[in-house]
Amino acid sequence: MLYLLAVVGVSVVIVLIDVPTLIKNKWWKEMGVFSFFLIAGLAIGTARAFHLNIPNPLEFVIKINKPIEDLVAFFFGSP
Amino acid sequence: MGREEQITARQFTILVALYTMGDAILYLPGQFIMDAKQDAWIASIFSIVEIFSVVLLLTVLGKRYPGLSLLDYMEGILGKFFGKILLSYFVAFCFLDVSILLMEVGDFMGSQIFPKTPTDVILLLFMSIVVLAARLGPEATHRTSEMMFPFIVVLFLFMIIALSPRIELKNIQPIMAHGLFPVIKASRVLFGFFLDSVALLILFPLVKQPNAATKSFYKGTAIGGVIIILISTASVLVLGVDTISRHAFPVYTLGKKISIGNFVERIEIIFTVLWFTSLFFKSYLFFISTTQGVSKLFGLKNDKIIALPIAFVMVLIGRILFPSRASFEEWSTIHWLSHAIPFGLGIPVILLLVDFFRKQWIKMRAK
Repeated sequence: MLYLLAVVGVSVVIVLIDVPTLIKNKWWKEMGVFSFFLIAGLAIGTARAFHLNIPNPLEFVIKINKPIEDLVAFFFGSP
Repeated sequence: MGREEQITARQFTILVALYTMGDAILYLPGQFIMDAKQDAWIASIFSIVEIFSVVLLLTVLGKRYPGLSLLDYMEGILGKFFGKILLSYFVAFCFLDVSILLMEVGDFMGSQIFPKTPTDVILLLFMSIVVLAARLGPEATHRTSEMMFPFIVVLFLFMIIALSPRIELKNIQPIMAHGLFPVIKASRVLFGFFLDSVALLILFPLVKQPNAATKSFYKGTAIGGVIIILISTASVLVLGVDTISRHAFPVYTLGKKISIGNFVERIEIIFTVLWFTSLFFKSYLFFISTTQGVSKLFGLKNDKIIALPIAFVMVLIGRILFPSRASFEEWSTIHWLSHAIPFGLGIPVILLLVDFFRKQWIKMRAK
């Protein structure tokens, strides 16, 4: 619960720091990217607070790089 | 925005040196000895030669478009569609890289220095400084690096000199007992660490003269390389292979060995200062690569305003990447090299080849 509060608190602080500038300058595109990352952060933070299973990006990366890894292993032998 | 941002060649040298030290300074001795055993110092010398070849490749690419950053000519060379694809890959890699660096901070601080502080808080504080640096712009950050660097060099030399009475030459004997191959195999580690240096091409054009920038690229790599050779040689000479392989952070253990007249003791925290500074500048480099890449990708006017939410996501991702210490060891020793090769060698080679053939084609058409 404390974790969730911290995540929400941090995002509120981020909004308070930057959103007034965004609105004042009418940077709507920047606003879109800004909200995308903020919502992504909130989602990941909430999932972590409730101990949900978050897919690990590294597993995906390892799967993609398998051919190169095999090539490296061919030259150096498996580590 | 007023006048254009620029940095001096000297500041670029320092940044490259700090980048080369980066996180390598803490993890490298432990990874060198996995294959090379007591010959880790020879492996470190070999790896310097390897990273100089990467620098050669990057400076050739950087000098072809003086005054333009990597992100600018990526689309220029490959065209809009393929340029955007490569840019997305670049951004994703840099994003993940900052998360990994953050995780390393949390791993070290959480296990060695602040065991009872929640790691998220440590990461949040570290990241807020990186965001601050990114928002103040390259000039302020590089002036800071210029201010910090003399301290780092002095502290480092002090550590090496203070360690010298504890050197035992029998720790590196026998030399090359298993032949040359394990040594060359071990030298791939620093090569892997250095492969993400493509991101340095973002700051490369901020130095006004391309030739001076090239020179300082080499100089910075040499300084960082010498520091890495010294630290890996010192850890093998002082600790020995067995002790290094038993510790998660051999360089930190090395610091604990310093004792001057039984009076100056436990000054290993100096190594933390060194490592933190170099890691900060490395994270800064990849962080601005990410924000500039994102703003290029979506055609934004200002890349500093989106820094905070991106940093927020990075901190959270950094906490879920590695569920355990063992998975991090596996990642950095087995998977990292294959993750970095397409980024560090693939991007510059593709850009150079396409650029070369395009220019040939234009020449043919002109005839």
